[in-house]
Amino acid sequence: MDYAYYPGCSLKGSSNAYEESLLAVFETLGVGLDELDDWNCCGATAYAAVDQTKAFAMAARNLALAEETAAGPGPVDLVAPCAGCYMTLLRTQRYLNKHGSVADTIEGALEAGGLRYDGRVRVRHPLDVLVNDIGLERVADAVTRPLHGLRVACYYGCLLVRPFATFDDQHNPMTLDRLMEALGAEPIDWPLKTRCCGGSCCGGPLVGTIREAGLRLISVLLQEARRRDADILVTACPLCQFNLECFQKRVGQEFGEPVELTVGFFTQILGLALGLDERRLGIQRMLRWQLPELAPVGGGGAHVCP
Amino acid sequence: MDYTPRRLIAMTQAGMKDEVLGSFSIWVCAGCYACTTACPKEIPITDMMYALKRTAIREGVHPRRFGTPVLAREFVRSVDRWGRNSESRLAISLYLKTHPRLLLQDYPLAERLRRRGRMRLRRESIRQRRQLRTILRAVDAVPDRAPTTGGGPTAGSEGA
Repeated sequence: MDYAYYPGCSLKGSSNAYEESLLAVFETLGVGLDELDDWNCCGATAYAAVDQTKAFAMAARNLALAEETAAGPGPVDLVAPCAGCYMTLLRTQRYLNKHGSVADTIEGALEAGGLRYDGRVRVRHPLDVLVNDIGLERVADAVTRPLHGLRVACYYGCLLVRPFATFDDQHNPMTLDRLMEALGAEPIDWPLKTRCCGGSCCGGPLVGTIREAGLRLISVLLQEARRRDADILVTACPLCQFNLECFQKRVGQEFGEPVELTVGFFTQILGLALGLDERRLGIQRMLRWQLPELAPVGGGGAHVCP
Repeated sequence: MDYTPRRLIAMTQAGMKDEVLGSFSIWVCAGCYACTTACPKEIPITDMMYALKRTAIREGVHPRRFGTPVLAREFVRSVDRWGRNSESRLAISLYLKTHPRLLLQDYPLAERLRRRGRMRLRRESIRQRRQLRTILRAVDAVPDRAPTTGGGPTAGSEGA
C-alpha cells in the first residue's frame, strides 16, 4: 500500500518532527509514502487573502503533479499531513468542481505550464488513512508499548475537519480519540477540540500579527487541557503545535498564570506506542517533553471494538 | 472585533464600503471556518471575510505596519518567486516591516528553535520555477478577471 505524499513547507522547517515521526510510523506499519517530486507551496491561507484564483493555481499544480505519478483512470491518493495544506488542497478541489469559470482559468493556466489535471486526486490526511485504510485493529496489533494511563488532550484544530473534510464530524470529531484509545492511552473529554488556537493571529513562526488575540486563545486551550489533567496535548497541525508550544511562557507572563504543557504531534505518540526510538520521532526537537513514565516496550495493544 | 460578522454583512449590503474595509474585524478573523460550518443557511462567512481582506489589501485600506496584510503580501511575493515558503526568512521580513523591536524580544525563542534544528535560514525553492511563473502569469492574463476577488462563494457543509 503506497501513497503519494505532499509534505508542505512547514514539515521541512519548524515541524520537521512531524515529518520524521510520520515517516517512521508509516514505515513501521508497512505503508509507503512517496514524496511528490518538485511540489510547491499549497498557497496556505495567506495567498487567498491576496489573490484567490492564483492561490488555486498554486494548489492545482500539486494536484496535477500528483496525477502524473499514476497512469490510468483510477484515483490517486495524496497524503497531506499539514492541516493547512490539507484544507487548502480540498478547498481548491471544491472550487474547481463547483465553479466552471474557476476551473476554466486553472485548466488554461496549467496547460500553459505543460500540465493537466483531470480531477482524479483524492486528498487524504494521515489520520484518515490510519483509521479508514490501515484500520485501528492493525494499529493496535502493532503496539508494543501500550500507553496505559497517559491522558491525552486530542486537539483537532480548525482546518483538519472544517469545512471540507468528510472523514470525521465537523463539530465533535472522534477519529483521533479512537486512535489514542487503540494505543492504550486515555483521551480526555473536553469541549475545545476544534476551537481555533489563534495560530494565524500569532502569525505562525514567531511573529505576532494580532498577538494579544492569539495569546488569549492559546491560554484558553492550555488552561482547559490542564484543568482536565491532560499529560499531553496532541495535534495534527504544524501551526497549532508551534503556536501552543512556543508561546507558553509569553501566555504565562500575559495572564499571570503559568501554562506548561507538553504539546506534540499525534504521530509522535503513535510512534512511542509502536516502540520506536525517541530520536526517530523528533522528540529531541520539542521545547518541552515531560510525560509520566511509560510502560517498557514489549506489552500488547488495546483491544479494539470494530 | 469592532463589528460582528452579521453586522459586516448588513453594512456591506448597505454600501458602507469605507467602514467595512477599515474595520478591525476582517483582520481578526483567523479563517477557522467555525462560523461557516455552524451557519444553518450555509452562508460562506469565512470566504466572505477573505474577499473583504483582498479588497482592503488591493485598495490599501488597512492600518500601517499592521501584521496580517503585510504577512500575506510578503508570503505571496516569496512563494511566487521561489515556489516554497522559507519560514524563517518570512518571519524576519515580517518583523522588520512591522515590529522590529519584537525581534529582540523573541530572539531567545528563535535561538532555542535553531539549536533543535527547527529554524534554518536556507532558501527553500522548487526546481521548475519557470513553469510555476508561467502558470501564475497565465492566470493574470485571463481577460476581465477581477484580479483579487476570486471565484465566488462556496457552501461549506456538503461533501468534497
